[in-house]
Amino acid sequence: MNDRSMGMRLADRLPHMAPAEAIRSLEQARPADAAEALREIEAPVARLLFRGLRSESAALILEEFPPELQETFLAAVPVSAATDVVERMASDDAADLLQELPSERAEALLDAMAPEEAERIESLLRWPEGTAGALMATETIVVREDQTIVETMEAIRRQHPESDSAYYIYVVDEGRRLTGVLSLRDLITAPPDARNRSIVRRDVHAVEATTDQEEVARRFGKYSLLAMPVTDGDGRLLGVVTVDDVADVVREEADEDAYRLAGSTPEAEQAAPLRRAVIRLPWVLVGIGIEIVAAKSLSLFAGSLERLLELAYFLPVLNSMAGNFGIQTVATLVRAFASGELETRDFRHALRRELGMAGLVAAVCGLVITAVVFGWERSLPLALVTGGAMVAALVVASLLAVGIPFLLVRFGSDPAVASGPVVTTSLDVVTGVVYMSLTTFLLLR
Amino acid sequence: MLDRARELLQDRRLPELQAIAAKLHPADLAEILYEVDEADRLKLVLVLDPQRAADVLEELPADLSVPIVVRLSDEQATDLILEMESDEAADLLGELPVDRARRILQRMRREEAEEIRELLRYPETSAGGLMTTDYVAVREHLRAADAIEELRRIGQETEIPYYVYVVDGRGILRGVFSLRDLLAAQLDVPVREMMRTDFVTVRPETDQEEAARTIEKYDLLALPVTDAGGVLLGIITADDLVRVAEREATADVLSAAGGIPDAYVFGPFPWPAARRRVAWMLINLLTAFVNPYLLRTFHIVLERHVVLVFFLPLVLATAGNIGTQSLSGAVRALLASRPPHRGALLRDAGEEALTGLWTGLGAGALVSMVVWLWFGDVRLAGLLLLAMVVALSIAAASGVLVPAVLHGAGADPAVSSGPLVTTISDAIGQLSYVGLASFMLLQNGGPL
Repeated sequence: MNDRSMGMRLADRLPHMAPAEAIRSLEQARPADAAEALREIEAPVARLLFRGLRSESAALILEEFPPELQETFLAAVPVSAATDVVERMASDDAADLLQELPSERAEALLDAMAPEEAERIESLLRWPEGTAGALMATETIVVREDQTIVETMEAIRRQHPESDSAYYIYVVDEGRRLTGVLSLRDLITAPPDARNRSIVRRDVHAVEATTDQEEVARRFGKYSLLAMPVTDGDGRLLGVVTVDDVADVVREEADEDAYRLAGSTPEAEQAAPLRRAVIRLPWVLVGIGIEIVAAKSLSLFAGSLERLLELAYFLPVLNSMAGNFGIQTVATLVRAFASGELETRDFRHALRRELGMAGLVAAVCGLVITAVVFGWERSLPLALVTGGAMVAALVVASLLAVGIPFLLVRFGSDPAVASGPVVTTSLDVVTGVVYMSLTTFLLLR
Repeated sequence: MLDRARELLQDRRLPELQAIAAKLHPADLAEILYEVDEADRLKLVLVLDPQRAADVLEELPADLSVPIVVRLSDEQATDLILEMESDEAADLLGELPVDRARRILQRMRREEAEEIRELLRYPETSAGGLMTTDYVAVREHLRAADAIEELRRIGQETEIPYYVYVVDGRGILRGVFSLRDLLAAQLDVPVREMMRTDFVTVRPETDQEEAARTIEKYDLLALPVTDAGGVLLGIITADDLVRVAEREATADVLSAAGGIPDAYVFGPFPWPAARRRVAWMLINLLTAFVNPYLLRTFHIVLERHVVLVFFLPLVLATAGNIGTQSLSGAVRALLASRPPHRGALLRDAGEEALTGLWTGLGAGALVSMVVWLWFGDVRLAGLLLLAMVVALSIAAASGVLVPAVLHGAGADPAVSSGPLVTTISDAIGQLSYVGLASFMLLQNGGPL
């Protein structure tokens, strides 16, 4: 492929064209490229060109924009034309867009739409965000089991001719309950007078509309699906979730994990400094609470510290190692839970894995710190005890960092919830006590 | 049904297991295999018919599937591998001992072996490593009816075909049409007339994340992979999107947490991941020696006021937490979009510093109150408040600046930011807390 994407190259050419020609080029380009081109050129010109597009093209291009741009482009079009455009969008994209718009404008658009179109989109808006229902599109091709292949092919041509990516055809009974699925390939290769019954596959992976989107993503990954039908509690077909929506879910959930692990939220990062500080503060304070316990326990060893100040020099090193090891373990496990690789019954496996890692790290880093302490302080006992404390700290770190996420999942909570600050600070307490008591009992008695 | 299959395997009731296994999804069967030992794993694979066994092997990571295949006879192994998708077959062969892989390839028909050899050439993270050679292609002079015949001929063994590719005599991709187009077409229409010629392709050496993005951008169900001459080599199907996105997301999350990418795979102990982890921790250890280095220079004040040591972990951990919080936001932003220009960067860093300042005031107020009540030492309380404000502001700003500077210098900010930010927060924690204490002590020599 060329270095400059097709959309960018189209953007280069647009300003040199007459408006009618430019509009034609946009309509002929792939929607994603046209959208990219419109984002590149000057905004007023882009909006002008967008106004001139046929509503089918405008709908497809609009689907490619991020929400805030969708809003500005749609605002460039008079309400009657905007209704046309939204009606022609895929139902899930249309529902997302209406959710973003100011409510009076969304209402005006819905009022102006054909009642059945409006009903279709409103039915999607009812599902809470983060569920399969909010993710699905209602454009599905449905047929009945007793129809012949010829009738089915006719139905496919008639239903949703604009949705290009329909690979599965769903089979339903009189009550619209999902009973099976047909693939286009099976249809094409079947004898024309056969009935759907003879080629239908019964093992459909369907989810209920209330299913959490993370669970939906896990099943897509596990079963390598392209699309998954969504049903209501009685098994009636409501819509379909496609693989591209799921890739977005994976990224969205990962974003959340990243922030939560650090004790923050995606919203915090968009906020102004004071507000950001307020959102982050609770977990910082929890961490500080735990660190005050660490301070209290260190104060019990004041005598040892006075006699052997070197302990204070190397304590932060041990803390840092245990903390780093712990956060790495927690983050790895949090992701494994998210992708479905781990379940709560795998606790022993996870523990063995992380203890093994801790053992290896302890062996190597324990030797290094022993050597460094000896080189610095010229005291073999101190060096050995510090190395031993490192081993103990890493083992405890792996126990804690495996235990906390598993406990959180066990009690139905998100394992990413602030595991980071809690694990690192708790480890400071343990590491401090371990190091101080080891030295107190082994060196200072 | 899954639990029933587990029981049957445990009780060694293989005939019944065979019956029930035929009805389970390969991914579910694979899940059972995870849980049993190697001998049982082999047993289960042997009772399955080759097609089914191949489907299950595809679901297993290499460290589980390789030991199974190694224990099969050459003939059994070849039969199994022939039933696998070509991309999976190549991945598996690539992990086998070389002479063993060679023997298996020799037992295959020439063109089959050639296909797999071709796939073996591409790195696993490239488009070539992700693609499969199981696609449907027809020559351009054929008609719709011939395409239907071809679909019938290839039977059920391919991954989900949604597109039919049109190639010329040299194998160069000329066009593509969907099964839906085929459904709507008259049987005697030449494929040349129904195909679309404005298709998007990627080269086999393209990074697989880039390939996945292309599939998403154009809402495709499959993306053809062609060589420099336009010859069709294989296709990447959209069901790979989720796995690529998972892998990418996991790497991002771990970098944002200040760690290295490590995907948890259920199976035997992962030695390569362990080696990376050890190397990583070694770097962390070396950078952590900044702490004793700085503390030794302040030993006079510490000797006189051991109480300072008690709160050292608190200052360092809080600064570290704030640094990581700001880092996770910055790395995510950097990975999501093009790097910000200098003005925006300085503004972001300023905002983070201000956030750190507010957090430092809030957290520092709490800490100094506790210290004041506990030790009745106003000066230590004041010192902690001041140290927290300074350390947290700088740590927060460094979370934004470090990845940006690394990115600007051409390094991967996702990999190396973590240890640097920790080192900076440690150093700044030491200087603002113990350093400040020394300074105060030097100023008026009295007891702290």
